[in-house]
Amino acid sequence: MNIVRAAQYPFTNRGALYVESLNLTLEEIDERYLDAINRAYERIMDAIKLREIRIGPQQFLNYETEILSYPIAILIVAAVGDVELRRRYAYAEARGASHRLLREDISIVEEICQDLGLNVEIIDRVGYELKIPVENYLKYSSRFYDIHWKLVNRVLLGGYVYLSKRETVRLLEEAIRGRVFQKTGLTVDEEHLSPLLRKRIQEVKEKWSKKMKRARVTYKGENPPCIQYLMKKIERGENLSHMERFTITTYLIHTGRSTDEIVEIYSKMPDFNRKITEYQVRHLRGEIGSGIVYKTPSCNTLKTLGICPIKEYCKGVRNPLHFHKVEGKD
Amino acid sequence: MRILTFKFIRDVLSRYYERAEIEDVPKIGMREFAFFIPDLKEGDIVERHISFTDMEELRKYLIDKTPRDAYYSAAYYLEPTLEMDRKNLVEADLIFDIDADHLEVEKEEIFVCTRCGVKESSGDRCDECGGELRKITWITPTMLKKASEETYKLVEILSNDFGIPYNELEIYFSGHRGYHVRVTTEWVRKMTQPERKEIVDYLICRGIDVERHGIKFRGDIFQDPGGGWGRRIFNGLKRVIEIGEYRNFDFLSDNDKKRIEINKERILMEIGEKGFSLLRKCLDRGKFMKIIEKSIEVSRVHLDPVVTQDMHRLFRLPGSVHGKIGLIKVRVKDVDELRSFDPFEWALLPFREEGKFRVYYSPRFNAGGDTYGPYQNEVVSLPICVGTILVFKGLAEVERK
Repeated sequence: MNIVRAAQYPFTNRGALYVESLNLTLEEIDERYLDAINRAYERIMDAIKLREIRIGPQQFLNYETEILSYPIAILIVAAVGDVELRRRYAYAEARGASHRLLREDISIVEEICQDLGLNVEIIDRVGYELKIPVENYLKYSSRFYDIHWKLVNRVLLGGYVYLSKRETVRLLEEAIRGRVFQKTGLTVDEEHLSPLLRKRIQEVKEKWSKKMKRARVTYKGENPPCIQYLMKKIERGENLSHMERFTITTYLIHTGRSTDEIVEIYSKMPDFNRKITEYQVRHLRGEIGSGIVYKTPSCNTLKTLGICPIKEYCKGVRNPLHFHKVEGKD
Repeated sequence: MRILTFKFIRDVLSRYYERAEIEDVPKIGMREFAFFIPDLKEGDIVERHISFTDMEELRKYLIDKTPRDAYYSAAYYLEPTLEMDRKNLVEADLIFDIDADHLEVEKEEIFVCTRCGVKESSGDRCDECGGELRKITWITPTMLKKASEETYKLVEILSNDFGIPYNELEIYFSGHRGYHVRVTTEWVRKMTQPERKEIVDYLICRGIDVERHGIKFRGDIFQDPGGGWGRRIFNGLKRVIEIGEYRNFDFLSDNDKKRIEINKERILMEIGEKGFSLLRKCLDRGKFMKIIEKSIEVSRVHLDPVVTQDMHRLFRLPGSVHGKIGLIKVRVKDVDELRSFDPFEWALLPFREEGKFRVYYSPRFNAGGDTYGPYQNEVVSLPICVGTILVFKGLAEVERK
């Protein structure tokens, strides 16, 4: 991989190798690398505002700055230390790369894949362009929701899953996201950083917290149909199955209801026992027991269990908790 | 249970484990072991969270404690002796369990009176003496054949689709009514729970969308799927038509069957080459999809999904005795051996000398090349390996010589 390409895909091992060869210490990243620091800041702003990191022709020309800007951006995001920002940044890096990759020749896709540990091979077969070992495929696809990605719906032969270029790039995007997210998880001791870099970190912190304040999801308005349906059942004093109780309780927990409020809702149930209910709600909250904060089951699961009362899916919703974020968007 | 029988069980197990060749447990120090130890008063006692440093230590334990059942974890733990959430799982073998009890096959269930030995067809109490009835499922050759067919399908898919070489697929007779398959290939051991679930879904065809495999009622978009389920459904469908299995489908009318019959040759040729527009012409949409469902049903593997998904599962120790029947969990060399495998020949305990048993009831069965039974409330002289089966099944007690 040449250096200009590495600048477009700086998260690759090739990119890392170049940066290593510069032999920089943290203290040395100061005014001397002003351009790279500014570009790093731009990267993060792109992530926050556009949810995608774009690279133009200008950046190709300054490929050295471009490459270096990536680890600096990682450093800044890590120093801010907010997990939401880390997620946002990783997503934006992956998305930008994915858009670039779709325009690239298939051999480049193969090269980047291999750099990231996806051992794809180009094949010549009607309808498919690449094949990928099933273990690589499962690692990333098992997070996808669409039935299209289920292994049972793929062509699997001799340990390889057959894919189109677009599908390969989608998997790759997931791999990139994972790698970038992981990199931003390191702990940064700000004392070793130059004042310039520290100033930039402060700026990102401010920008991000402002953004977060505006974006804070408020759970107002209507509940999704499944929750409304379950609430009505409770009001009528009907008995709820274990999974129905699990669904509604986790939903209420994640939409910010207190334990007391939830227990109060259940008080209408025929078999209500305050002590037991309280214990169970606290358990689902992760306050007692295993410490796991249980999530509300996905729409898919609810459909399988026959809890979802509607035929179709609520638009763009995969989990009852997404309902407000989508429907309530202004 | 009589003291004599209890002593007999302990003696048989101890003598067996003294000479048994137990195959090496890979990375034994990282496995959790669990045992059911026979106890006269308490029934069986469970011993869990046990660990051994080597095979010799395990062997001594087996001889000394004579467990009725012995298991070890599919998982490799850093701390196998600690409680579950502190064990620290590193990775886990991928295991599959095919049990005839979960398959659609006729089962022979026997209700035997524990007091007078009369065999009843059903009910709670004995008609003759009012004694308690015990339900016993007898293993029949049909059950085992069905289980071995499923195992064969499993091994075929793991090898052809997942590319796992045959020599990395370990097949075992479970010791009772089915087979276990274990995969220890490195990438497989490293898989997470959701990834294992995807593999299970693949094998049992959960969540399949046939249209994604080019099987549609309308439109002619046909593309040879080449591999995976598309190909398998195609072949299944072909088989259904070819061997005339469709004649048994009650959702097809006589006219449907006749239409398929007349066009049979052409339909088969078409399926082989370009699709099934002809078959679609013979049937309406609902029936067409039902035939597809049937061909999926015959091709998918009927295994226990929970066992494979759960990384913390215990796996019966190969070479150990199964406590419900007194047969040994033995390795089946390969798929060819699977076809002719007879547990009542290959998995018997190595004790041919005779002993006296009071048998409440036993159906007629073959073991070790001879035929035994039927017996009803009588004292018979049997080879120890055969008598053990009846004792472990709860159908006999040991009689003084």
